Amino acid sequence: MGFFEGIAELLTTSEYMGSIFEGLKTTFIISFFAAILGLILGVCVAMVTIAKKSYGTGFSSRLKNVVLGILKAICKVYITVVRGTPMAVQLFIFAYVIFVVRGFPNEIKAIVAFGINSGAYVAENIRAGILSVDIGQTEAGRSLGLTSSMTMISIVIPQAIKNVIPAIGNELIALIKETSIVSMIGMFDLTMAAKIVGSGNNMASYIVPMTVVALFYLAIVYILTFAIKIIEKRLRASDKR
Amino acid sequence: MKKFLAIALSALMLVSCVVCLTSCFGNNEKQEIIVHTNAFFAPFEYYKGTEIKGVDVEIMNMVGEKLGADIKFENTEFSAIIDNVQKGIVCDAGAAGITITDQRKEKVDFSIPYYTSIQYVIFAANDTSVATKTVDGKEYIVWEALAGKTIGVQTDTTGYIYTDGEINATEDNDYGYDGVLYGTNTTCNTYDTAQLAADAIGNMTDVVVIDQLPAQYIVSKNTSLKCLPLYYSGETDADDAPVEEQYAICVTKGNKVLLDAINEVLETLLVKDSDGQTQVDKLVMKHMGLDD
Repeated sequence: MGFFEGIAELLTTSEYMGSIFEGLKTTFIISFFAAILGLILGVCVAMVTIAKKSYGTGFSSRLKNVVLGILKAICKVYITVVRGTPMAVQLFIFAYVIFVVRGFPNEIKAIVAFGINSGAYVAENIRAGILSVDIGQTEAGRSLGLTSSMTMISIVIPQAIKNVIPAIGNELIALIKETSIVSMIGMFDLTMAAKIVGSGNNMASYIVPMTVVALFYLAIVYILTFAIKIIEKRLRASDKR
Repeated sequence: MKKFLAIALSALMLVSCVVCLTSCFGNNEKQEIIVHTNAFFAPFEYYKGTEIKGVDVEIMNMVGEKLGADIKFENTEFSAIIDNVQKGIVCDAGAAGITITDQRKEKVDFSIPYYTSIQYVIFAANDTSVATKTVDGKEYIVWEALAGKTIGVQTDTTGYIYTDGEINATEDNDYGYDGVLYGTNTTCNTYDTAQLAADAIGNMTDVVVIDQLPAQYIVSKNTSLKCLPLYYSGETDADDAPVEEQYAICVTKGNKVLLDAINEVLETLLVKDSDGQTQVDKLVMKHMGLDD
């Protein structure tokens, strides 16, 4: 059977396409919720890592400094560990070592594992975005009589967002593609669908289904890239460059 | 303000994690038996659409009926099944055409064997370098014929254990004997599934060693491939013996109720009918698609 006949067979067999769409659904669900979890986590961690010590001498300032110090240490360990280990290993440890709970839905295991992974990268992206805004902007805001939080919200963050969007988009794309390893914990995602369609009792060759699934991933990422481009364009409408 | 926000958000994050963790424990009224498998082993277990089907699934469903419990099959990596069953937290049993070996016996309890399989070699039909042997009309391949080849196997299957053993066994190490392929420059490549190994024939591997039924499945759909049984060569041609193994279902050590139920079901299934075939043979035929 030739390659193109194989593709035609796959596209016209409802059972195979059913598997692939079921896999597509799982890939969507995991990447969507993991991305949201990752963004929330990333923002929290970035907030902690850029927060500065309070210079007050009262008890409340000292307490704040202690709490902040602990949080900063946690965030540092979190980012180091998550960025320093491969996603496949993290997923394995998460599913088979930490989350060894009977009947626990695999979807949640995967979403949390990918969310935690994505969060570390998003945190660093946001931190980089905020630090990329010139310190002169903050100084100008403070000289005009704004408080430090007002400066952050109305001057620094609006400029930082523009710098952060491309990096976050990059992370989202990486996240979607990284979900292809969830078949390791027995989940039925797009890559798993390809493996099943290509297994012995179906098409008995991985070559055709893997190619078709690659096109599916490409389509998802292309649509996402397009959406990010539109957002970026709107945000940069006032830029003269 | 910013610090408060940071602290508040982090606290929220922790709380949501804890809530997420605790809210998911529901108590089922009916007992649920979770069985781990690797659904790339037709006809014992395979995906039909998005459902896991196969001989092992039917056997376990009969066990479930006997115990009045729900059977839930979960797909996982083959290499993780024994460890998961040993711990017994996420699953109670493993049914994946698992061969009884001594190492595995130390970790889990096995049921009575329900199927005897032999190892097969898959190779490209136009590959004349694979020497076959024909004795009494039976065509087969002996281990020696695989010397110098790159052998593809599925990770942690018996195909892998045997191949790895024959390549690495020497008088000096734990094996205590020289493997057939020791020192012959033979390499063993491991793949996630046998299908993946078979796809690699011709460029990354020369032959694939896997159990009989999956091999026959793969070959029946790929006309460019051939498969033959794998034999140990004896003193004379008549002494050549196939590489045999027995499949069984494993349960967590000490789970006697489940093990007894499985054994009872298997005993009834293994009684030979008037036509000389057991119910297990018939289930295999049914899932091979050979009965219709």
